[in-house]
Amino acid sequence: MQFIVGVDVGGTFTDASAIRIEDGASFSAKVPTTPSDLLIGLLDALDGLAAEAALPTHDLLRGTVKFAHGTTQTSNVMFTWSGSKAGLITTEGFRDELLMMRARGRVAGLSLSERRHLRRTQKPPAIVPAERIVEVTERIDARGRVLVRLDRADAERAVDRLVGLGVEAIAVALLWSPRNPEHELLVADVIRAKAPGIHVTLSHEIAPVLGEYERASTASVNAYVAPTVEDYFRRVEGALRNRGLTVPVLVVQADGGVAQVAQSVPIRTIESGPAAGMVAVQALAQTVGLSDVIATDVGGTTFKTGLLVDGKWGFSRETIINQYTLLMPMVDLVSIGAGGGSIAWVDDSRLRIGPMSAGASPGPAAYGWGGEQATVTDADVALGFIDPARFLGGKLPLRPDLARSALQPIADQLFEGDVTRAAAGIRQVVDAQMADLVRKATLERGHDPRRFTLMAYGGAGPLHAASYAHGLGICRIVIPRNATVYSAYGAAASDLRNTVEISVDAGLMADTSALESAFAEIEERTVALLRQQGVEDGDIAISRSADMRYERQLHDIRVPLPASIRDQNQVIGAFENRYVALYGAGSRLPHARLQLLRIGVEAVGRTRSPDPRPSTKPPPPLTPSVDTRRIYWPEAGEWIETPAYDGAALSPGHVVAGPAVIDEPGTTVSLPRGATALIDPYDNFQITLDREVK
Amino acid sequence: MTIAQAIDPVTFEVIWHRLLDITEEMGIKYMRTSGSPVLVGAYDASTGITTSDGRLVAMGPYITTQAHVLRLIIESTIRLRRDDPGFRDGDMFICNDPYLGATHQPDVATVAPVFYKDALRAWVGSSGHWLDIGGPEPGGFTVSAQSVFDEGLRMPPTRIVDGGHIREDLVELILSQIREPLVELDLRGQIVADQWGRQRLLELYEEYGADTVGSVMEQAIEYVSRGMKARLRDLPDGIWREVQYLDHDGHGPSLRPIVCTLTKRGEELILDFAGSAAEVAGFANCTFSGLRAAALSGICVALAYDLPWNDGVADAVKILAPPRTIVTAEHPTPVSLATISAIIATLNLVLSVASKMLLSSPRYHAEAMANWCGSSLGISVVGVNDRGLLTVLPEASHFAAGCGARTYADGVDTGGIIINTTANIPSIEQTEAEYPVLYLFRRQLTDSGGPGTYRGGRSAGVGMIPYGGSGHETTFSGVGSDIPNAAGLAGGLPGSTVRYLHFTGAGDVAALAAAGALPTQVDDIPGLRQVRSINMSHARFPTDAVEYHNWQGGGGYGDPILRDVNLVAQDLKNGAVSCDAASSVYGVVVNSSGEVDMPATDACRAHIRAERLRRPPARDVLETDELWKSATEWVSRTAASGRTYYGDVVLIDFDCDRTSCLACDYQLTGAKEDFRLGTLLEASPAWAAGPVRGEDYRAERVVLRRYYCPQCARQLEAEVGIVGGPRAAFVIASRGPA
Repeated sequence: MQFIVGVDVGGTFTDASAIRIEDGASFSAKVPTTPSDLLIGLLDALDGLAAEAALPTHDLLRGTVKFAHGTTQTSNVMFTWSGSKAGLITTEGFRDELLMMRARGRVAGLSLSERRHLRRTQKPPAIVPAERIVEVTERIDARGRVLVRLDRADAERAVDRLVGLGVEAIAVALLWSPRNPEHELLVADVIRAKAPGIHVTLSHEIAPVLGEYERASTASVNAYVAPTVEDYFRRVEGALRNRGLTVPVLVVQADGGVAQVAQSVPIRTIESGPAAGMVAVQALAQTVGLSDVIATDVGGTTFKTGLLVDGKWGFSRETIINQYTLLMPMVDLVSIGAGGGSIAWVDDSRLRIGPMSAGASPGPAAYGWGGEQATVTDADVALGFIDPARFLGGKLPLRPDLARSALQPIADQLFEGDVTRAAAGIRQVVDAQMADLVRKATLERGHDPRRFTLMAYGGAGPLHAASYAHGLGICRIVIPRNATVYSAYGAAASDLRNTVEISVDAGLMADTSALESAFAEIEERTVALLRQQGVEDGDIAISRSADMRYERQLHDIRVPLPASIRDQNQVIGAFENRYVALYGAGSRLPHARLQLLRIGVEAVGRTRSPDPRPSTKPPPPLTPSVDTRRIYWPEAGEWIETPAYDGAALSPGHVVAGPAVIDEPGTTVSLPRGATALIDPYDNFQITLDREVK
Repeated sequence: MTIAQAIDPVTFEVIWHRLLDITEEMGIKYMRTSGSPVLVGAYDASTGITTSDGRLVAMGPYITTQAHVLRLIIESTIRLRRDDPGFRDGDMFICNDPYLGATHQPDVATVAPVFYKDALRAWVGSSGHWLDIGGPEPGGFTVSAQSVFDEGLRMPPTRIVDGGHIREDLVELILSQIREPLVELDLRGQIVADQWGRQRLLELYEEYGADTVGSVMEQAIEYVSRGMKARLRDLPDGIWREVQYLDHDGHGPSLRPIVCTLTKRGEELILDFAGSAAEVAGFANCTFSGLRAAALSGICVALAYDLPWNDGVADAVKILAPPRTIVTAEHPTPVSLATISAIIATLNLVLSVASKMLLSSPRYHAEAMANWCGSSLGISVVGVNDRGLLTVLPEASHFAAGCGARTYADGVDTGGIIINTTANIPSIEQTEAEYPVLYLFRRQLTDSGGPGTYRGGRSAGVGMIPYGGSGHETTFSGVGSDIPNAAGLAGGLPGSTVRYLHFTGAGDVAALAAAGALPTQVDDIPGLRQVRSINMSHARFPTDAVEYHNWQGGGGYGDPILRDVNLVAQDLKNGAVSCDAASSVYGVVVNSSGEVDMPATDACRAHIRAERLRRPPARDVLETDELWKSATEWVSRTAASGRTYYGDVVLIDFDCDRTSCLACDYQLTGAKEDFRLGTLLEASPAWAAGPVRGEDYRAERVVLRRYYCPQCARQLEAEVGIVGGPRAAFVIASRGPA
């Protein structure tokens, strides 16, 4: 038997998912993450997965033809400030750039309300403190010409100094290195010659774009996390090889692809879990024939959303972690602090939700782990949406009494003591905030949410999707059956992918043949990296894009470009279409010149993923619902004795009309009146909403 | 006006969240469309939604003063244009008239009435700093201006969009006054932002009904107003006065005071600017619109830090000012420098009076901050690039200014500027890619943070040289070279001043590079060093000259000789503090290997204390002016009991009518007296606080006053002023609720 296996090590849970190639059957397991050593949780999850497939772990791994691993290890190193002792080598005169953080490091990544409390804002601890930033005498200008040549002896002095301070990793970030990398390469050569054990990150390799602070920050964060992350992956490879795995471990990347351990850049694993979720969304969209999808992932602390347009996800170029800027191509996702664990509180006359979260500890009051503040999950429990006896398959019996007493103070202050109204209010406010984020993200990217299908996953997604979808004017929802282990499932479905973008000279815009050859050159580089990982040329697909703006604008937009460019007008037309889509008719500047800033290539090497097979069995007669329970539906404003279906009893062809709930192992699908769910041939819930949902 | 109906908390929260999102989205649309480095690099803009009569409901991110102008601009638009040409759906009005609501000419606002079902329901607006506004100076700061007619284009509210149709004739009229074609993007960016805001607001009306949305708007203002009043009730009653100085009037150096007296009684908060200098002939003034925007922005930061920012804050504050002062200039007095002279000084002034009020309540100690960098600059480097295009580089590294110390921690080094919630400095590579200059260095400046038990944040300095292209000129404007504006708090000292140096005959890039190295710190720059005025227009910047400037650091908190010696050692290691300042200001002595010499440090600190005790009593030197006497009269009549503290500096005991040093219990004064009167006073030049405190400029009249406890020699307060000028003071009338 052959399997494709994906694992996702998250902050709270480690998920594993497997697909059996012979019949397309899928298996999953969820175990607690083991923060002291993530490998333990990973092996637990694989044991659980093997048990689901009724095989010894060794046999499962030996039969595995593709093994993909997503992890939050890199983020954890940052959040716990437990990275390596790193040093930075930079251009003389500019050693403070990393510490100055372009001034915005004081507030980068903070919400508006956090930014407004100026007294509390500060820069993060220095990942590379001042004493480990060493300058070298050199200077390259904007065109890449060497003004002051770097002397090897000076580079040696700088390296000696850092080695003397005991650094484990060195980042090299010199001015203008993307235009002329020779000085950074010289420093790298010196490090490898003098201290071969030290990890090296070169800014022009990890982020070949303009912006000295951003490049230095990206390279320094990578140097900071690399020793820990690389050590972890080496241990994973060793442990899995001992347990029978014969194929290389593939590491999920933030751009939604996977790479072998040797080709994986540590920082690029940041946010790879949510990226893998997007991969799964794409695969599912293709299977069920959808091209425009809004993906929503509702977890314990955050709500994340991303778009699939014409079957493709968007990319973003930078992210912020612990207030440091990281430049790297990543799946375009946005998030707010709203999830099942978000805490509800009263502020004067207002009902506020989050951004604080009860997280996994103490967790929502209903968990009975000592949490006393009401959370969104407590509201869902108090309203009857979550069956206390069946939460996590009955493994964690919930305490509705505790949920209600946590809600009581909010009810007393704002709802005349009525706990039900308080709980309903919490649900409505949090659903509206989720809808607002989706609306903002969709409109900002130039799209109308109403023409999209919404997909919802994560523990709380299926529970809230119908409500926030309705708020957005969306009438079609798809909820995958494995919604709670979706990132692990996505990891299994990921392809090898290599995304490269480079800054280019402004003159390239006018010279189509030079542009064409610049593209050809980076295509060659991206393809070479895939070939190194054993991908056949026939399995490689390439797409091009460019970042463009009107001359002297400072914000640019990403424009997809055709596979071969013969005429400048192809480029201009592509830009103008995108510009008008984003900023509206009338925003075009017919007289302004266009500027090309960066070009990018994405090469995808298809890996083995079985095509899901539709069920061909005739729909079985509908099992009568085993149960009903009283649920207060905020949309209807009343308690309704609601049919509660056991998800396991539903198969393709079954139709469930709201009001109803469907209990799944890690979540509940809620169907208000006006919503109808069909179990599609691929075993997903396809929900349609009437215009009026109650 | 909508009559507020009671809205349930759930509906309120849902709609309110959406309104905040809309202002933020407007800001994003504006930024992304505009190409201006001032706007995008420095985020010098804001957006807002107001009620139908112009009261601000929600404001976007970035620069708060830009949002606070919207109300006055909309009020002017309503007053002047209601009847002719009138308002209809899809109209937009543009305005930058400083006498009609704007802060100064380069800050332009575009506002749009929002109609739903034929009724005016709200306004949306966006305001931002344009790269150029015409007039004699690129960038719009007219150093030589005698009146507003010597400054850039001034637009009273003008209908730029007529029923959804952009009036291209007017666009052309505006752009034909302006030398920088990129400004078209600024203009269109504002229109895009307002269109977006209007559209999103209409959707909201469609979804919830105009009355409900209107009521939420009213409640949002009431909510903030209630929050402000509750905060004011919490704070002690009393009077706090602070003074800031502008050191340039546009035509030459001069030291002109801006005085703010904060009176707080119950829920009432009055900011009175009586005693401020008369309006000056040059461009350093601001109008009442600027004063209001500055004062409200200061109050937002100091007192409304945990509330949404809207006109609920304005409702809680009364602003008084005599006419025709430096902060209430009237037509046709020039004001083009206002934002980076009178406005930023006023904002800092309000922040310091409010901080001292916070410091007078133990409950709010932690919220007080020393002043941040108290000045801002307008620097343009003009040059013709090698493609023959005239380029104007707005050098904005100075937004990485020093932040004020907190009562429990250092100020943030190069952390940004107080008026901007999202400060950002331009990237060196991106600047060099666009403009014919080469940066030699950008370094944090040693000793620039105001010394204190907690040090103020460091500022930085930048060196540059023309590179490629030709015809370089520098235009430099601003305040803060002669006198430090970033005052310390509770005995903390001020941060550095601005300094602008020009090195002639340094050698061009090729010559410097051929010599083996480019200069990478200020002390290494060859050539003849000239100290330049920070108000210069079109000063030639030849290719063999190097220019350097640095800006202001943040103020410190608490007596510097009480700073933890390990922190001073760390500062020495990081270059934040020099050896000289470590011993002379902090009393910390290190040996040759950089380790603290504890016995020498103890001796040094003991010596500093002994010297302090030789100073004369302040009471002999300070005079109480009439203005202060009359302002504080009510205080003595107010019944007070119990005790309160001013920071960790003095204890004010109303029951025993006694104000005493918290360190040694020495009685300084009675309870309702300014405790400074009971101290010893040392008056010295500002650079006693460290180098770059105005010593390169005309600072003879500037005085740093330090107040010591006559018994334990603790430095209880320090302030910067001028000889014979108005001085800071406070009296507490009664403590707030326990």
